[in-house]
Parts: sequence; C-alpha cells; structure tokens
Amino acid sequence: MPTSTFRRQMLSIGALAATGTLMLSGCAGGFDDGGDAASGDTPTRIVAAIPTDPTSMDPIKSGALVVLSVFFHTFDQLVTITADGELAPKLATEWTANDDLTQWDFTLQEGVTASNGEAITAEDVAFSYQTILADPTGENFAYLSSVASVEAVDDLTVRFTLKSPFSAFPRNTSLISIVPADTYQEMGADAFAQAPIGSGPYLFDKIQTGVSYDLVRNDGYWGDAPAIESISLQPVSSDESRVNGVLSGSLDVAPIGPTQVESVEGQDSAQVFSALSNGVVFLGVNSTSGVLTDARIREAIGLAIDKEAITEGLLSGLAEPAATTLAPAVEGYSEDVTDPAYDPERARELLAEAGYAGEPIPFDYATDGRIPLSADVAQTIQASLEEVGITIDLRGADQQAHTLKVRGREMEGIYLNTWAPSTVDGDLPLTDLYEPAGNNNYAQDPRTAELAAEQRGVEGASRLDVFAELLSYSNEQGYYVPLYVPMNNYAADADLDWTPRADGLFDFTQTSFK
Amino acid sequence: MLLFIARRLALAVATVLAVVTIAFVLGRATGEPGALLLPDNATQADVEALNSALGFDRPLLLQYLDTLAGLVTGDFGDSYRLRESALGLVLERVPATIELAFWAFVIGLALAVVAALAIQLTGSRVLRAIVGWAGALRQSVPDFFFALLLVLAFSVLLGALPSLGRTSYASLVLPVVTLVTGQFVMYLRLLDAALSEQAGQDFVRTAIAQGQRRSTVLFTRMLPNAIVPVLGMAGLNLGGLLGGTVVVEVVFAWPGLGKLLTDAVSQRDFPIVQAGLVFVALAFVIVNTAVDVLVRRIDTRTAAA
Repeated sequence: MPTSTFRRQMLSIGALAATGTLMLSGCAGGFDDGGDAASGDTPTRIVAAIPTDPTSMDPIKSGALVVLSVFFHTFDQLVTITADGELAPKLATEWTANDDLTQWDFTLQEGVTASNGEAITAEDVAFSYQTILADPTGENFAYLSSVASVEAVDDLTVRFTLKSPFSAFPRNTSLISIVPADTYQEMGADAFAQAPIGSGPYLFDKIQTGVSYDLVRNDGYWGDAPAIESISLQPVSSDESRVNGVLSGSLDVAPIGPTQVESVEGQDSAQVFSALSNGVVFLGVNSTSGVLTDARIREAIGLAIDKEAITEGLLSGLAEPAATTLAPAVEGYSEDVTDPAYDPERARELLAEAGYAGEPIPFDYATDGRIPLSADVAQTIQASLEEVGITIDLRGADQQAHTLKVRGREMEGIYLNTWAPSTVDGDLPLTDLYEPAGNNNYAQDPRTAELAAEQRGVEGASRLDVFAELLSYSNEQGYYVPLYVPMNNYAADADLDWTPRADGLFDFTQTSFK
Repeated sequence: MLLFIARRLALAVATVLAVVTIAFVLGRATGEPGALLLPDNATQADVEALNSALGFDRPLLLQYLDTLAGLVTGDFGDSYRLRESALGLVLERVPATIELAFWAFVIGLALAVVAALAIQLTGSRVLRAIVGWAGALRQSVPDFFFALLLVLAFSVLLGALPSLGRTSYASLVLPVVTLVTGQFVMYLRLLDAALSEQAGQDFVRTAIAQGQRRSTVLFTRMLPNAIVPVLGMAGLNLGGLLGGTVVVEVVFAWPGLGKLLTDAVSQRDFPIVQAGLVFVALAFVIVNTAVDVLVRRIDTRTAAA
C-alpha cells in the first residue's frame, strides 16, 4: 500500500476524532471559569467540597443529608438549627404548642417572597408539607411520621396537628424546605428540580448534576444579606483530593479525614477546623443471637474495649470516648449517664461466670464510607475482645452492603454503626434504636419503647430525665456499646472566617474571608 | 463489506443483550435499593413501600422484560437516587470521558510511535533501554499514586495546574499525563518488537540494498506493517478508556462515566447501571469495528480474506 494513502488515512481519522472530541466538549458547555476567585481584594466566592453527590434538587422529594448543604442556602425552612445545635427562628418567627403538645402553630415572617416574586405564605408551607405527606415513599416522609395534618389558619399561621404528643417537633421542621406552591405546581416536580426556585439567601445559578452546584447571592432576600456572593458546592469523593484541592487553592473548604489533619496543620496556606460532631459511633448488638443473649457477655464486651486507645491512639485525639448513644451536642444528652470504665479483668470474670467457651461472635463492619478509619477501628476492637478471650469472626463489607444488612436487621452478632441526628435532637435515633420498628432494635425491649415514647410527651428538664433513664437502662442491658464521638475535620483557606456546624453540613450565610 | 457490517451489527446486539442480562442478574442478586435511599430513621415499612413503588415487588421475569423494553425504546427510566433520566445522566458524562480517553489514547500512541521510530532510526540500544525502563518504571507505579504525586508537585507545590475538576484545558493536563504515561510503554513494546522483527526481513533488506534510505524504508514499508498489531491492542484499550477511568476520575474529581457507574453500582441505582453499560458495550463494539475496518484497509491481506 502506498505511503501517501496510509498517511492521509491516518491524518483524516485523527482529524475527525479530534473535531468530534472538541465538539463534544463544546456541547457540554465547555469549561467554566471555575476555581478560586482569590486575587487582589477579599474573595467573595467559596468553593466547597462535599463528600458525596447530592440527590435531586427538588426539596419535596430529596431529603438526603448532603443535599441540605444546598437547601440551607436556597430555601427557607420554618426553623433552623444553629452551628452549636440550638433551635432558632428562620421563616417562622415563633411557635407555640397546645397543652398536650399535639398541635403546633407557627407564625411566619411577613413579606417573604420567592426569587420569582411569588409571596411565601402559610399556604405555601402547608402545600410543601402536604405534598411530602402524600408520598410515603419520599425521602422526607420519615421526618414527618408524627404529623397527622397541616393547614394554613391564616396568611401567616400554619397549624400542625400531630398523631401523638411531640415536644421536639419544631426541630424536625428544620429539615423541610418550603417551596413556592404555585410555581412548583405550574412547573411540575421534574422541571422544578432542574431550575428550583426558593426564598433562601442564595439562588441557583447553575446545576451540573454530580459535578457542581453553583449558587449566587439573592439580593432580594428578606433576611440579613450574607457576605459571600457566590458558592460552588462540588462533590469530591476522595479524601486525598479534597486535601490537595484546598492546599492547591482549587477549594476553599473541604471535609477531611482524621489522619490528614496533621499534614494540613503544617501549611501556611490552609487551616484546620475540628469540632465534635453530633454523632456517636457504637457497636450494635444482636442480643437475641447465640451467646449474646447472656447479658453478662454483652457487659463483658463493653468492659473489654479500651475506648481511649481508639480515640487517642488511632484517631489522634480527634474524637472523645462516648458513654451513651447520644453525643454531647445533641439535645437529650446527659452527663449523668455513665458506662463502666475499661476493665478487662472484670470482663474475663464475667465471661467465666457466663460459661463462655470461645463460641465465635460475628462482627460486621463497613470497610469504607460513613465511619473514617472504620477498618482500623474494627481491628482494634477485635484485638481488645480477643485479649479477654472472646473469639471474633470479623466480616468487612462495603458501606452499602453493610447498610442493607443493618436495615434488613440481618446482623448475627455485633456490628459497627453510627447515628448522627440531623435535627441535633435525641428523638430521631430513638425510633431506630429503641422502638419496635427500629432497624437496630434487636432486643425489642418494651421498656425502651415506652421511655422513647414518653420523652415526646414532656418538655425541658423532665424530658432530659426520661432520656437519662432510657440511656442508662440501655447501657445496663448492654443493648449497645457506645464507642466514641468523632470530630468533623475540615481543611480550609487560611483566611476563611467560618464556624463549622455540629452536623457537618455547610451553611455559609454567616461566613466571610478575612 | 456489507456482510462484514451485518455480522458486526449482529455481534453488537448480542453483546449488549448479554451485558444487560448479566447486569440485571447480578444487580438483583445484591439487594433492593430502598434502604439505601431513605434516611436512617425510616422504618422497614417505609423501605418496603419504596421498593414496591420502584417495582421490585413484581415477578423477576416481568422486571427483566421491562428492562429489555427499555433497551429497545432507549428509555432506561429515572435514576432512583437522582430522579432524573438515567440515560440523560450517562450522556451528560460522556463528553468528559471521551475527552480524557481521546487525548490519552492519541498522545500515548503518538509518543510510542515517535519513540519507536527514534529507536529504529538511531539504532541506539541505550535509547531503547532508557525509554523502555522509564516507561516500565512508570507503569509499575499505580495510577492513583502517580496521580497524587503529580498533584503534589504541580498543584500543591508549584501551583501551576488545577488539582481537580474540569474547568479549563489546564484541568486536562494532569489526568491525561497520568493515563498517557501509564499506557505508553505497552504501545512502545508492541511497536518496537514489530519493527525490530521486520528489520531482519527480506523485503526490508532488499529495499535497503536497492539504495533506499533507511528512514524511507522505515516509514513506507515497516511502519504500516508494524502498526497493525498495535492498532488491535489500542482499540481494546480505547474501548476500556471509554468505559471510564475510575481511578483517575476519583483522584481528579473528573466528571466522567466511570465514577457515575461505580457509584450507581454501589448505590444499586440500576437504571444508571443499565444505561451506562449499554453505552460502554456499544462504544467497545464500535471502536473495535472501526479498528478492524482500519486494519483491513491498511493490511491488504486481511481485506482479501
């Protein structure tokens, strides 16, 4: 074959392919002028990494935690949970309950409009809640399981009628975003998800599903104007990439793992934020399975684990030992609830008393995902337990397979799990841990279910007493082994003036650059 | 040629069908997605309601036929998690994937051709050893680790290139360098072996004896022959790249197909898995067909066969 033909063919194929590629780049909108806008003046744009990609931008359907980092900026919720876990007004200025806590009236802020001009009134609030309640398969439905009905009493008053008393109900409303009802209905849910309209301090500028969620300041916002003009939330799944992103200036703030804190601390261009989270890492226990039916063996497991070896050694002090299944930041936590200290001698005695003869106990954990260093944590626990003579059958799985096993109540021994209530209130985990429908509730103890329901009917100090009773009882029975409260760690631009939230979500309305 | 294309089409259909069937069986064996979609405080009743709303309570055969119907109409349904058209989500990621795959492929191959020709033209053993060694050394380092080294050097220390995202042509540099350097040595070895083998053959010796310049013989006689086996390999490789380069995509937060698909698999987001696999299977078949056509045109012996 003559050279010229060969060369011409190769050239034309190459040219064709190159054109095609460039055209495709063009079709996708080409490139953005992304990155950090840090030059000269104080920057007013934040690029923040989120660890997983958010779900749909329709807040009626979407309720996954990570998506709240978007919705806190773009929509109003009735109330808000502040960075330190306190309940505070947002769209609602005040709220009152009737005597038995079954009916809640919320008074709304006057003169609120969505970014397209539609007024936000009690009708819109009622519509948002009613639409969620109409679809039991929605992600937000579980947060409203206590609600019987919602109605607009007048333009500025919304009334919630509950199925049973619930003192912490306002906290659950911090998770539910209000959409402008007419706009939502006119557009339809699918179109709304593509171009969502809310009344929050920021507007959606550009959505690239799974790539970036760009927001700009809403200059017509009814509340205080935030300092930051634009926010870009970008899913970055790798820990290493998030650290490098901050160190190289591609990102302004990013969640990082406990092992990476030290490497960021030594850098001039970046700072570390660490704050105790609202979550507790614990061992779930199937107290109906094999030797674990014996309370002495469950107690021995708790006594044999050296929590400080995990928090100080493995996690370099970026966690605190936990004595209950609630973290200190969470409403319902009580300092009075204690659990027995590390005592391997006592553990051995209990095992001997119970006649434990080395029957293997399955120990399930997720090798990745929600608990940083989970594999190392699991191995440390295994070593502690084997030290006192307990035989452990360690079984690792990926996070999703592990979650499916937890949710299917399929655990046969002990398992590593974590609970972080997004309402920063102790009520949320109770259903899952202590009530009959709970995925982690193997014991099905009527006493815990009774106390879980009881705290909903009381307020203030008496509510805390019920929590203390429940959590102490849980510890005594060894239904769970609380391990530690991890810190949320972030690498951030050295000039960022920001307070991280206990729940690990982003809210930049109070943030600025120095 | 018509018969050839018809055979290829039939093969493509069979491939896609097989891929979809295997994905369906494996997917259904790993559990239903409801529990992964709802928050932790959702009860088992909520999860079951969602699973049946998604159609998981229907007979498996019916679900399978539905999947096949979706395949024919091109409607794979909405992603369970993202609640958008699964095919749309896959197609959104395709440009980023093609971009990376194309440049990695072209530059990797071109570099290998240049290096192989330089080795032949100079006849230098030292050059061959150096290039071969360097390539092998790079290939022995895992991609994610090499990528991190690049990021540390060029993004963190020098601040010259973005460490993640797809925001400008500069974003392409580090991911492409990672892929190119990883593949270079494979192409080089194939080419070098093929060229060296031909160097000793009669038609080459005759051509040189006739007084043709060594470079002329190399370009006109040897290269077209040597490129044939390389193209076959490169085609397979390009198909693989088009399926997404998960490791590189994760390190550079590159919005390609690989990350979308692996996430969808672990989230049991079956519509995305199906749509993505059909795309990858088709891309594979198309690239390989294109390579075969190309080889037949370059190598007249296969065309006659």
